[in-house]
This record gives sequence, structure tokens and C-alpha cells, in this order.
Amino acid sequence: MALLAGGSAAWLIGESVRTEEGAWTEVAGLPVPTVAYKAATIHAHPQAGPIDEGWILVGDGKVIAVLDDASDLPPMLPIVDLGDKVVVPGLIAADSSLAGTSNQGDHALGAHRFAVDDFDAYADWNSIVRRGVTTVYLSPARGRLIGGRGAVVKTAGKDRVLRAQSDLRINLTPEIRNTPPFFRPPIPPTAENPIGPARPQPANSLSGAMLSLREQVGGDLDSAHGRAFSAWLGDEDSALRVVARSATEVQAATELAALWEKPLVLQGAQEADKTGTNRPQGTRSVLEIPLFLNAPDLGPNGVADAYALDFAGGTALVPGDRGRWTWLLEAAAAATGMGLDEREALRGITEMPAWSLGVQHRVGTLSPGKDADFVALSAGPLDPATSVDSVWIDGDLVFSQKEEQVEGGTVLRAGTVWTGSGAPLLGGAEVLLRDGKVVAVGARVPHPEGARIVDAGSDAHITPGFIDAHGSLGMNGRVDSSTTIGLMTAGSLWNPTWRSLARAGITTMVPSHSNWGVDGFRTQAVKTAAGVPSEAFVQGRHVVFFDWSGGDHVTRQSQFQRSLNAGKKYFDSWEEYRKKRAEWKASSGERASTERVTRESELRQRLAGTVLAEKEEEEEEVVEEEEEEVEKEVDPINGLWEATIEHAMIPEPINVNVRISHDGPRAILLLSSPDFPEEPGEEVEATWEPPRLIFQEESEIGTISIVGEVDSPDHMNVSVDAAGMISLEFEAYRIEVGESGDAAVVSRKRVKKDDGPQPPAVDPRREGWRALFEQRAVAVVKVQRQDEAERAIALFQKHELPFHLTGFGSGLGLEQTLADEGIGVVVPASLLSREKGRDQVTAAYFQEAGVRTAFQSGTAGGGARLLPRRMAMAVRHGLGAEQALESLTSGAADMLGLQGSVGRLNPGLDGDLILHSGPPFDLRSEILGVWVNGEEVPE
Amino acid sequence: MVALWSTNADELMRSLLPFITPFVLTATLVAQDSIALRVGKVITNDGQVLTDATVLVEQGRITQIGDASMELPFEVLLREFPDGILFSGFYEAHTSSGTDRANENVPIAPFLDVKDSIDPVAFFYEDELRGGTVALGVIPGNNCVIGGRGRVVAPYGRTIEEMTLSASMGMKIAIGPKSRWSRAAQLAELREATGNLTRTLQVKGQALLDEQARTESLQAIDEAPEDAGDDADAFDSQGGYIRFGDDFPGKELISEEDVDSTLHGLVDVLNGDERLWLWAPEPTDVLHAISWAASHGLEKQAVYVVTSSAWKVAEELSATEQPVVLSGGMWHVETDSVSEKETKTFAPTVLADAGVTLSLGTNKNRLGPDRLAYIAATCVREGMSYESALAAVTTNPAAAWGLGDELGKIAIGYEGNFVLLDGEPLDLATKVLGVWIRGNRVYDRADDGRLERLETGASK
Repeated sequence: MALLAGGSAAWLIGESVRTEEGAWTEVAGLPVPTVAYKAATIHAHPQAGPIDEGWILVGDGKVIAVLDDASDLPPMLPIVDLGDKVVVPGLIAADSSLAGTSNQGDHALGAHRFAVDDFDAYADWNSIVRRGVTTVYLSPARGRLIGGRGAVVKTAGKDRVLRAQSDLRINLTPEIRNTPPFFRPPIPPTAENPIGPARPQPANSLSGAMLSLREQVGGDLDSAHGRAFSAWLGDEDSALRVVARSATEVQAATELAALWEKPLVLQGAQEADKTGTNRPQGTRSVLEIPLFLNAPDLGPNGVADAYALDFAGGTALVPGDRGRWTWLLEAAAAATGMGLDEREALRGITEMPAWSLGVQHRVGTLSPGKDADFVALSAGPLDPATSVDSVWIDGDLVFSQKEEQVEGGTVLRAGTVWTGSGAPLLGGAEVLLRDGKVVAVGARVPHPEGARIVDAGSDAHITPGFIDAHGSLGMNGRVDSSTTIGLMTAGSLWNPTWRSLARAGITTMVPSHSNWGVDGFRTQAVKTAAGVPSEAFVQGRHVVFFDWSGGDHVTRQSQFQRSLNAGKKYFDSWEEYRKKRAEWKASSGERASTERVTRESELRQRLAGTVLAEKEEEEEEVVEEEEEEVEKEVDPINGLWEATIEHAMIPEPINVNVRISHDGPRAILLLSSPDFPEEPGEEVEATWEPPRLIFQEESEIGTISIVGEVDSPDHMNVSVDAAGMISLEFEAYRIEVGESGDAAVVSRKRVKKDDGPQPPAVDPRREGWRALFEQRAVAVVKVQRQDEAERAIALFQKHELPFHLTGFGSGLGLEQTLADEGIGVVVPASLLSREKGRDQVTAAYFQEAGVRTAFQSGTAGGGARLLPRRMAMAVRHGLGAEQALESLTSGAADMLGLQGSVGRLNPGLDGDLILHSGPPFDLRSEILGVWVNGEEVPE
Repeated sequence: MVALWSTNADELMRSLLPFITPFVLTATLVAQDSIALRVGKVITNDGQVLTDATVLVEQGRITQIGDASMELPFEVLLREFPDGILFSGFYEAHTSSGTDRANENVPIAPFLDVKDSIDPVAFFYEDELRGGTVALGVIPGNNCVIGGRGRVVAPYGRTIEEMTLSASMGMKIAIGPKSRWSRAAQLAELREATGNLTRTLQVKGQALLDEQARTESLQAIDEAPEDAGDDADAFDSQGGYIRFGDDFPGKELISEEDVDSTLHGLVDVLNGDERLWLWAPEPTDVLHAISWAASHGLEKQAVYVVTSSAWKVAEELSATEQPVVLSGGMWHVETDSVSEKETKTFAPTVLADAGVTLSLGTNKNRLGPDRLAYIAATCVREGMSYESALAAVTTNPAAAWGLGDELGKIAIGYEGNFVLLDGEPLDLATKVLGVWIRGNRVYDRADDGRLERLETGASK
């Protein structure tokens, strides 16, 4: 039995028949269907409720039938499958501000204004169509007593003007009470046609408005309005639309309809229930649903009261107060919240407005013979998460999210979602990814416009992306602690090796080679599929790998202690710098402000002075020039020079003072150092070959040569070469100018620009320790024996550095300590170890003891991409699946300090997740897709 | 006696002056209106390029075109420019530049005429002349409903009469909304104007019928009213002035005198006596304009003034077979509201390909492209044929004014308007050496003091 939308041609005739189930009835004059649209749910006729799994037959842009049984489909009919979408009739806006809200004409009475004139078929209708609106009422002047004739148009399609001149719109609300006087100056003004005052226009009160409206009956053929009004009175198809909100306005509207013998469309009508029941037969309502404000006047039952009054006529719904006129779905949902039945609410934005606008024969339902205008929604029409997926007008696709390619994010839906915190969400849940992040997780998340919706079905599971706590991919070639690890995965989205890892579910990996040592190998967690460097790694966090294993523990202990001490000193130097810098900044801020005040006051004084001051200034400049000339005669090298010599082989920088005096090429240098005041100065002889000062001496090891080059006044670059074994360079500054011949002596103070304290030199070897001391890194220490583990624990705990252990496959007898102290173990690649004649899952062993674990692929054969598979095997051999999941996601993130970015599906964290066809770590499941930074990793 | 004579002579002269002046002027013009030019090349705009040709202008019109050996009447001065190219000059189809203000502040102003607004000494005209423009259709601006009448002028002359090439360019009607008006308000205003006129005429017709009946009944009882006397302008008081719209009682009795003079412009429009310059800036306005013209039976009077967005209605415009003037820029740029993708369309080629007879207007707001040569050259660059691009700035504007048989070409019978160039007309490096209007040399680059100062940098 086929359910025909409408059942019979009765639907085309009128509203008396509302629902009817009946056999297929040939409707005369309908075209032959040429295509069928299949959808999971079809609200062909909102009042009759939805059809599950139905087909809309369309021919020549018209609906031919709606079927719920495939066997009724005509043979060979092409079928467009809309999938799991929910189809509703195209939405109809019973009111709109599309034709403008102001400047629509200055006559208060303007029946000769036609809103259809404002219809612009060439305008950009996309923003309307994409809201699912297929038919719109164009309103004439909204802020005038008689606005004019409305029009009803479609937002796309072939025959778009449904009614060029529909109702006459009258506004009785206070909105029209400030109509400005009408004025057109006569040109040219003459005695007969003088410039007069502006003509006042109605109305300043409701009674004034009613007075001028009642006067309209006679008709006034001398004005354009009067002629148009008479024409409207004679137009039997045209209704009277009155915007009336208060009870008195509604009452007045009723009176007007009776006076002019016109069918009434009442817009607003919030207080309609207070007016009694004497409204004319066939009155229709366009109810403005308050979306933001409370409407106490609606009565205790909200819409329902007003609605019940007018049930026979039906009520069209439009968004009221500050809502946008295209928010029809929202208005319907809000009306439901106020007590309206869901079907009636949907009807209020489809079928009922069609009746109100007098276009029910063309649109409003998916009934045979009507235009094939429908909207495919991602969910039920009143569902808060629903969004418009596609819009079809006259059977043609006019809008599709897919084609628009709007960046609306991705919504993933699965039966089970493991968020990484607490119990999984069962029974169907969704995750919204947008802009690279998880935006929402829950049973129902928002479906933004343009969002891609991936529904994997009720069997599917979603888990956070997996974290490999130590992998070796990408560590070929020269990689040391100074390399910016993260950058090597920039562009990994297009790198097949990285991509296969990501596709396997590893979305985050801590890469490292296995040669760690006591100074530590500093690295960062990288994202395995990233398009740009900024997304390629977890910013701001480091992991430092240390190797404590092997050797005797005394040696190892002292090596670690030394390395740590050096690291601590390095850290302290940075702390010191930070402190000094902060002090300097504070004080230099003060200094700068004092200087500015001085400068400003000087400037003010100068500005206050006149030409005279300017002259003085000119003279000053001349003096300065003279001075410079004198300076030019200063000897370039005579005087006292100062330098600081630094070299890797010199434990501390040495300050050196050299007094140079020369007479021609022969120069005498007197060397001394303030660091060694007890040492006597040494005098050497050098050659002055401007601009170079050259000193050479033969020694046991070979020629020692020192060359100083004066590159600017009072500055010398000095390079030292000791028999090719040691070479160093330093700068020397003259701090005192010495006498030379009869040259004028001008003492100049060396001006040193004050940049404040400078940062210490970066030492890559100590950066790992520094990161640890600064609490932005976590250490992972490799130990193999119990004594190593104990000493490592003692050292790191002593300095309060966060750390975990790795490198061993059994408990080493320290399980209790590890569990108590919260020290985690990065479980080695070999997940199974054979002990006491049976296979044992290492991780399970730790977990039973209450020790936190993370997994690593390490340098194990087969590569990191097999890690999830190995975990599945481990689960098969006795590891709890949930524990495995935790260790691969939230547990690992917590251990490695990455919980601010990855490891869980929490709003704000990176959009890394895996879509599994079944339970994760079930060998029967497969990975359907992986998202990294909100983007699906391509195959 | 002497004094008496002189007084009399003065008076005589003063009284005769109005009658004499036109003859004196005509006499001087006739003396100057003939010239022969022998040039290296003549671009006729008829699809021909003549080399070593001679063009003879007599009494302001081209009477003969021949080769270098063409014989000339002995009294005609021959000027020779063996390297020069003689070109029709550029035609600006539609502009409101050169007037003191583009629009009056009343929306319905059919009684206005740019005649009262054109400033003959505006630098605008001097610049146009220097640029090789020989005729401009000056008409009220677009910020109106019915804007007033325009006229075709040459960019030369001390008075508006001297400048005028044709006083009957037509009436500006804006279908696109006045600034800050909605389209519905715009069209309602237009509807109101025509509707009110019809109503006024109906009332007048009835009044005339009543008057006639009264006269007849008086005559019947032999009490004829006093003879109204000789009508000063018998033609104006004849009936049959109203030739549009549905018939109504007394319509045929209405004479021009019976209608208020401020309404004459509108009656002329609806009678079909005026060319209508319909401003339609958006595609939807074009459709409104076409249907408005059709609803009043004025299809053949319409000239559509459009902007670059009109490429969307190229087919509809083409179907009207009426002239189209493209004003403003030539590129239509559209940004999709959803994807924010930008699409650029070069409107002239789309319109020309659809078969529209297109005239191109300049955009006076911009300095660089403010030249018809530049615009036409751009069209050629964007794929329009050279002939079409040239026609869009020469013969098509002339045809849009209804002066296609007099202006726009160098051909026998056409007015002696042309410019002498030193290169191809659409070459931007080409200089205008001289301009002739009706056979009179009105511009000579050698005498262009302002240009010389500009080029030499002399400050005085």
C-alpha cells in the first residue's frame, strides 16, 4: 500500500481534507515522473507525520507522488539517494525584510507601492536559500500605515513570482506613528502652485489610523494611492494583511476586514486570545514567535493559547522581535518549546504560510501537482543540531553544502565514544571537530552549517588518537638535541611514510633515536599528519630521554650528578638573566620616561623661542663640525685599550688592558689584566701598519701571531693564531686616548649603548636539563637493573624533576615504589615477555601493580605503525582493552605532560581521533578513518 | 541733426538687433564653414580606410571625398596634412558632466532641460575637445525619477546654442532607484506621475466636453458667447494633443494650451515624441525598464543606460533591438556571499556578443580610464573586434541620439566634424592635432596654451 502524499487530488482543492491514506490515485494533468528522490525520512505533509524511507517522485519540476514502498516505483526511474537526510517541504517565510526596512516610500498611504518591484532575481539569494527558505513574502513599506501590496516569490527556480500583487499590508502598531510629513516642492513654484508647508500624514494614534483607513472606502481617484486602493478592493483574490499585536489592534484589524469584506491575515497577533471569537471566518494568523524575549502576554501556555483560538485557520510562524527573518526552523522549534505540537510547528513554516500567502496551490507541502521544493536536513527539522544539507526547487538542486565547501568542521557519529576521561559515551554519541580542535563531545553536538557529517553507525567506536611514547621514525641522519624535532613532521600529511603511521592510528609520537646518554636527548611530541609547521608538534612541551643503564653505578651516578650540576648552573644563569632583565626593564622604563620628559621640556623651550633660537642652533652646529675636524687628527691607536677574551679552553673570560703608544710603525704594547692584578705587566713590541697592528713571535709550538685591525674609531678586531692550533677572535675598545705628537687631545668617553642584560649563550647540551628545571619537560630514564632504577629515582626525586622510567620488562621489584610515587613506565616494544615458562604481557603486569604505563614502538621491527596491532595482540593475551586504550591515549598524555593538547576528546584539545569499525583492540575491528588536527588523514 | 540721426540710428539698430544678429552670425559661419583637408589617411567608420584622400566640407557638411587629385572649388581653403589621420572623433553617448548639477531635488522633473544647466566655459568641455571628443550627449543625472531633457552638444562654443548639435536628445527616466529609495518606491513614484497625469487629463477632457456642451446649448438658443477673438497661437489650441493611453471622454479636445506647461514634458514622453534614456543600473532594473517601456508602447523610444552588471540580461537587451549605453566601469565583479569567490566579467564583450548595439561611456570619476579611446582599446584587448569597439564610441552613440545619418562618420552628407590624429585612434600614444566642428577648426594643438604649459612645465 502506497501512502500518497495527500492521498488524492483532494489535497489540491482545499484544507478540508487533511490526512488521508488511500491507494494510488491518478491525478489528471500531472506530468510523468522523471526522477525519484530517496530519503530516510520525508515530512511530505507535516501534519500527517513523517514517512520513513520514502521516495519523492518528481516530473517537470512538480511533485507527482510520495511513496513509502519501493515496489510502487515506476520501473527504470533514476533515483537520487539523499541518504540519511530528513526531507521537509521548502520553508516559507510568511514575512521578510528582504525588500528593505526603511526608505520604502514616504506616503503614509501607499496602496500603489508594489513590493514585487523590489524583487531582484539577479541578487545573491544564496544566504536565504541555504537556510532552507524556498518561498518568501516580500513586504511593502513596513513602517507605513498602508504599506502597499506584498508579493510572494520563490528564492530560485523557473517561475519565481508566485504572486506579483498579493495582500495589502496595513500596519497598526506604534511603528507607524512617526510617519514624517509629506513634502514635494513644486518646480517651478507659481502663484497657483506655491511652495506650501509639508503635509502632515496619518497617524499619531490608533484612532487616527482607523479614521484615515475608514475614509478609504469611497476611493479617491485623484491620487495614485486611491486608484490603487480601489483596484485592490476589487481584487477578489487579494487578502488584507494587518500587522496588529495588541488586543485593540487585533480588534481594529477585524473591523477593517469586515468593513472591506476581505479575508484577513493577522500578523503578530500576540494578544489575539484576548479579543474573543468574533473574527471573520477564514482569518489566518502569522504568529511572531519571540526568540529572545519573554512574552508574558502570550498567556500561561504560550503559543498554544493563541494557536487554539485559530486552529481552524492554522498559524504560520515567523521569528519575532530581534530574530532574523530566515530563522524559520528556530522559530518552529521555539514555538514547540512554548507548547505547540511538533507537527503543527513544522506545518507553521511550510503549509500554513502557503495558505496565509495564498500560494497553497503551488507550495507548502509535497503534494501531487505542487512545486517540487524541498529541503534535506541533517537531522529532524526541530532538532537543535539540524542543519540544511541541500535545497531543491522545482526538482533542481539549488544549494548543497557539499558544493559550497563551507568550512564548517566535521561531525563524527558512532555508537560508542571513548573520550579518555571516565566511562565511554554509549548508545550513540558525536564529536565535533573544527579549526583543528575538538569543539564538542556528547550525545548530540552542534551541526554547524557546512559541517561534514560522518556517521559510522552504532557499532563504530571513536577513540582519541594514539600516542607512541617513543618512536624512531624520521630519526635517520644527523639529529641531535639542537634540531627542532617537530619541524621534521611538517608536511607529514603528504609524506606516505608518516601518513601510513597516522592511518594506523598513531596521531602523536615522541621521536628519538636510542643513543641517549647522561646529558639527555631533548625531543618534542610530533603530530604524525600535519600540513604546516605550526601544527606539526605539541608546542611548549618537551620530553628528555636519559640512559642510566650499563656500567658500574658509582661511575654512572657521578656522571649524572655532574651533568645535572652543569644543567642546574646553566638553568641558574638563565634565571639570573631573567631576573636582571626584569629589573633592567623596570628601571629603563623609568629612565626612558625621565628622558622623555627632559626632551619634551627642551623641545617646548625651543619652540617657545623664535628665530633667534634657530640661529643659535645653527651656530652650535658649526662648532660641532669644528670639533669633529679636530678629532680627525686624533691618533688611531695610542691610548689604553680594553678587551675580553673568551675561549672554550679558557675556563673564565679574561679581561685584558693594553696601553699602546707608537711612533711611526714601531708600537709598544704594555699588557696587563685586571683579573690578575698581582701579575706584572708585560711589554711587547709590534708593528703598526695602518690600519693593522701586527705582533708575531716564534715560540716552541710555532709562530704565534696576533693581528688587530682598527675598523672604526676606537674599535679593533683582534684575531689570535697560535701555530694553527688555537685560534680565537675578540674585540678591543679604546677607553682612553693617548697623546701623540702635537695632535690635539680630545678626551672622549666611550659611549656604550645600553641594551640591558643579554641572555646567556644557548648550550644545546644543557637545554634538556633547563627544560626539566623549568617544568616544561618530562624525563624518561632508561634503566635496566634495580640499583640503577633506585639511584635514578633518588636523584630525580631529590631535585623534584618529573620523570618516568623505561628499558625494563619486569617489575625489578620496585612495583610498589613506582605505584606509590606515581612513576610511570614506558613499556618496551616487546610487549610479550616469557617468564617462568609462560608468555606474559608486560603492560598487564605493571597495570596489575597499579603502575602507570605508556607504550612505545621504539626501534622494534615493523615500524611504529604496527603498534596498535601489537596492542590488539596484547589485549588478546590478557591486557585489559580499556587499560590499553588509556595507556595509548590519556595515560600517555598525562605521563608525558601532553595532556593540554592530546590524549583525550575534550573541547579545546587537538582534533585527533580514530574511527574504529568496532571495539578498539578487537582484532576483528578495523580503523575506518583517522583525524589529526581536525583533518581526516587521506588514504 | 547729427544728434538726432545718431539717436535714431541707435534706436533703429537696437530695434533691429534681434533680427539682424542671426543673419550676421549665419553669414560669418557660412564664410567659415567650408574647408578642404588633404590627409594621409581617412578612417571613415564605414569600414573603409582611405589613403591620400581629400575631404571637402561646404556649409558645415561633407560634400565630397576623393583622392589627392580631387578638384576643389576655388574659394575653399585647402589644408594639407600628409602624415595626419582624419578620424570622426569620439562620441560620448551619455553624460551629465559639464552641467552645474546633475539633478534637481524633486523626483519628477520632466520640465527641466540641461540647456539651462550646461556651462559652455567649463574646463570639462575644453578637456573633451583636447581628447578628441566631438559630441556629447549631456542629460540630467540618474538620481531622479524623471530627470529632464538632454541635448547633444559639441565641446566648443561660447553659448549653449552655439554648442548644440541637437536639442532633442531625449528625456532621462530612472528606473533604478534614487539614492536611499527602494525600488518599489521608485516605481510607485513613476506610476504615480503617469497615473496622476492621466487623471488630470481625464478631468480636463470632461471639463472641455462640458464646456463644449454649454457652448452648443448657448448656440442653440442663439446666445452665442462673445467671440474669443483671434487665437494668438492657433496650432497650440487645436485638440488632439494627447495621443497616448486609453480613450476617455473629451480626450481629442485637449490641446497643448489646456495642459499645464510643467506637464508638457511628460505628455511628450508618453506621446512617444521623446527618446527615453532609461537608467537601469541593475539587471532587474533593466527588466523593469523594458516592461515599463512596453506597457506604455514606448519600446522604440527607449535607450537603455546600464552598468556592467547588465551582462546578465544581455539577451533581453538584445531582443529589444534598442541602443544600450554602458556607463561606469566595464568589469562586473561579484563576490559569492557563501564561498566569497570573486567572479569578474567583462560586460562589453558579453553584450556585444549577444548582438546589443552598444555605446560605451566614460567614468568621469577616474582619471586614467576617463578617455573613450582607453575604453575602446580595453574592449579590443578583452576580445571585442576593433570595428565593434570603434563603433561603440563613434557611430553607435550617434545612432542612439537618432543622429546616425548626420554624425559619427566621415561620409558625404554627414556633418563636417572630425579630428586630425598623428596615429591610430585607439593607440594611447596618439595625439589629437586638431578638431573641426561643422567645418570650423575649433582646436589646434599648436595653439593649446594650457597643454603647452603642461608639457614644457612653464609656470606662466
